[in-house]
Amino acid sequence: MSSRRRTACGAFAAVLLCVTTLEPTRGFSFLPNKWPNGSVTMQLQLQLGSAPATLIDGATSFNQVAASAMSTWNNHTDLVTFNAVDNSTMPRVENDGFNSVFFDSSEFGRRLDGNTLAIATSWYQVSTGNKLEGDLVFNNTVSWNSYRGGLRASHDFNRVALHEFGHILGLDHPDQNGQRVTALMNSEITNLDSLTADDIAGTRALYGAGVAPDISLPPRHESNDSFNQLIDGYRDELRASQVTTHLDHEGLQAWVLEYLRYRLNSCSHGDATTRVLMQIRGQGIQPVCR
Amino acid sequence: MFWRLFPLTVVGIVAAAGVARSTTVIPPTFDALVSGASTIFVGQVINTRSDWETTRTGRSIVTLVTFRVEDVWKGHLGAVTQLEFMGGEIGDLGMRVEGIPVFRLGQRDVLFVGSTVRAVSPLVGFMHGRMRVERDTLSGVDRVRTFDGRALGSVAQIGGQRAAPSLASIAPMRLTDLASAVRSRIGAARQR
Repeated sequence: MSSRRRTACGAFAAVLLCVTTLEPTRGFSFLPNKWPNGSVTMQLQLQLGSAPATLIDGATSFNQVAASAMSTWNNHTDLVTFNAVDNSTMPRVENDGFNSVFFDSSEFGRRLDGNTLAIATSWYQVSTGNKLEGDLVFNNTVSWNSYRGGLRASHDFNRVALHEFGHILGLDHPDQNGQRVTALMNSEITNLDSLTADDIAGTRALYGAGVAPDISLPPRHESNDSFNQLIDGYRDELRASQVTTHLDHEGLQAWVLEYLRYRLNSCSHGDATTRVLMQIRGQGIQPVCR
Repeated sequence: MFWRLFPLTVVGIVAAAGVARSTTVIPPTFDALVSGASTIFVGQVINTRSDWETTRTGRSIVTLVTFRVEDVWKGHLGAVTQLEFMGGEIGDLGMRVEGIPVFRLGQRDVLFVGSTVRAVSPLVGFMHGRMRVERDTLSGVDRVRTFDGRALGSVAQIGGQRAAPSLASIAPMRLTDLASAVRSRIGAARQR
């Protein structure tokens, strides 16, 4: 084999190795808590005395920009929807069940330093993982505007709000979880000013109707019956020779489906296999991985 | 063959302009980290405890993290010190400030403490003032990673443009080298 052909073969092998050992290309990642299905009402109190009457992108208030950011996320969710209460007069109180969005120099009485632009806080029930409240505080000691495109001297409220509402929904930073994707949910603010396919896929995975949080499988006797008919068909029509393993066909049916159920609910191959084996050892149905 | 294939296995480093988010924080430079800290120390987490805090805006949860102090690079500390962070869990209720450092027993960190008085996070730069220390099991050398576990190659990387995760590995700098850099910066500031 010539040197050039060896190089080409080696390159192909290297690429093949990379492709076959990569995890699925999902980039998005989740925070530990999510909202139960329904609406999430945000109390918008984003009046900022020093703000220009019209922002660079034409918006006439930060409330309007925030509502637009929520609406953008709503375009990609089915099971949870943001609602906005414009110019809310609700008292800004922690752990009151209301989701407050406002400008301040402190997070409920605790000082924000000048480097902290915004803070997202969540209250949640530990046992269920369900979110109970999500608050957003934007630092009123820094300069804000709202615009598209490259970063300017003023901070862009639009992209920061989009990002923070992503956290309120339950999305985490892909790039801090070992992923390499283009995403507004990455940890650093850049010239990117809108949601990407990965951000949308993340929110669809959390709240899209097309992805059930768990799926029901057919009763075991039905899948077993289907498998018996398959065996009969192979034996009688295809004249296939008999093959035996340590796994009976009912076990095969049950556990392959269980494995698939875990995989369809975000478990890796290793996690799914471990969970199936735990079930086989009598440890009951294990939680899925989403 | 290895060297012919090498370029195929290296992912280019993609620079990103630097405002970190989570909570959206402008990452401090190394100078700002050192000068903004009243205390800089290496500590090991020996206890964490969450408590209710009553404020004029309701009740929140704070977590008190106790460290056994291994080394003090700036300021004065006793053998044990405690830092207070907003958030935590009490019973079936949890409060999480996105991006705030979460500490587990036994972890070793370098901590750049800016303010211990009623801040959401007492660290300079919110989460950036925490650097993780990990011991190389083969060599026994302590090395330093950023708050989110990325290898810190040198202090020049702090607060600047951060590389995207890459297949190309970067050896984390030694803890002793970071200590030297911090002390050198403190000394330079005193001379000015």
